[in-house]
Amino acid sequence: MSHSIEDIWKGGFISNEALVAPKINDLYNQKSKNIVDKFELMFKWNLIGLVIFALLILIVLSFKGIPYLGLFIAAMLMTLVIRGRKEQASLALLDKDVSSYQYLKAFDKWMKDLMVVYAKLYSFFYPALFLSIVLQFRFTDICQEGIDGFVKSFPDTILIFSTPLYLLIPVGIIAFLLHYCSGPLYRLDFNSLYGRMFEKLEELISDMEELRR
Amino acid sequence: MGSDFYLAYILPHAAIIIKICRAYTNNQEDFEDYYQEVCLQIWRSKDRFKEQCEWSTWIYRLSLNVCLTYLKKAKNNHQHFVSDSLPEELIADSKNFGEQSINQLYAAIRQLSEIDRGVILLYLEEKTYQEIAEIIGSNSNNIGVRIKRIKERLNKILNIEES
Repeated sequence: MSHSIEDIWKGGFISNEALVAPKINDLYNQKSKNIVDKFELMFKWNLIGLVIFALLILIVLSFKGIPYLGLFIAAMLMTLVIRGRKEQASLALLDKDVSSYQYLKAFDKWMKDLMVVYAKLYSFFYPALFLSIVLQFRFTDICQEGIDGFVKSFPDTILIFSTPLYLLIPVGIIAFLLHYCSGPLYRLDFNSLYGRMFEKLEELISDMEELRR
Repeated sequence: MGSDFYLAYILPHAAIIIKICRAYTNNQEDFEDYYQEVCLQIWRSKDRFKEQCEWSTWIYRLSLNVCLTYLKKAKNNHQHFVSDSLPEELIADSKNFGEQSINQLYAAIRQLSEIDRGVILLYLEEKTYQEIAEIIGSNSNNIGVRIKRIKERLNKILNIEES
């Protein structure tokens, strides 16, 4: 080949008017496939789902005669919704009209911040959910009968709030494990869904940074 | 999208979008998806255009950012453009010189990293190093070095003797 790439390019596009744009129909109603828009949509539906779930939990548990547990779980879910709304607002502020590096960095930072925030929230959400269920169960007749039987068999057992210490210890351990495992579990879940996207973003940013050095 | 906006503000610059989207896609279906997405994002972001740069520069910047962050669908990789890499109707004026050459050049550009594709496209579109650096987010000295390397690589792929 005897021409330079500049010549090939110029020769290939002698007239820009000769380029025919693809037909587009009803563009404004098209679904976006941009990462940021996908996240916005996912967030919107996640939040709607959480609100519906919170209401359902409240109604179902109220009918089951345990409205306080329902109220507590619904309140915790609504905390996630409120936080999610805040994140949603910050995502909408990401500007595409900046340099590619700034845009990718801003999105990468948003994703990482989001993971940290939710990992922290879930590390409290799961133990709190578990403890509230245990607490509710503690006040049932079945549980009381079980504890009475346990105390009869082991009369020298230590009681804390009328509950044997031997039962409180595993509950505490499970709550502790849930606290420490929820964050990594959330990250694992997040990565399994968006790992490829993360990798792509990391590659692009590292390429950009090499270019900036 | 209001068709007036498309006709007045996007269509006159469609060539920019076509050239960029073509470098990031391997088949006609993907190309149309990318083109559509870029147009959609231009419409959505139009209120953020601050007139600090030219509208065409803004379109370059937005098109690149959209192509870099587009979520590809898993598609059949065996499906290529009609003329192996570039549909004929898109380069109607290229018969004399080199439809084949431009197709080969595009095929070579697609072998580059995503960032390098953006850099070389802007260079071929005769943007200055300063403009390229601003669009990409680098500094102009590095852009010069990178372009030299990209050109060497493209020349090697295309078997062009360097002058």
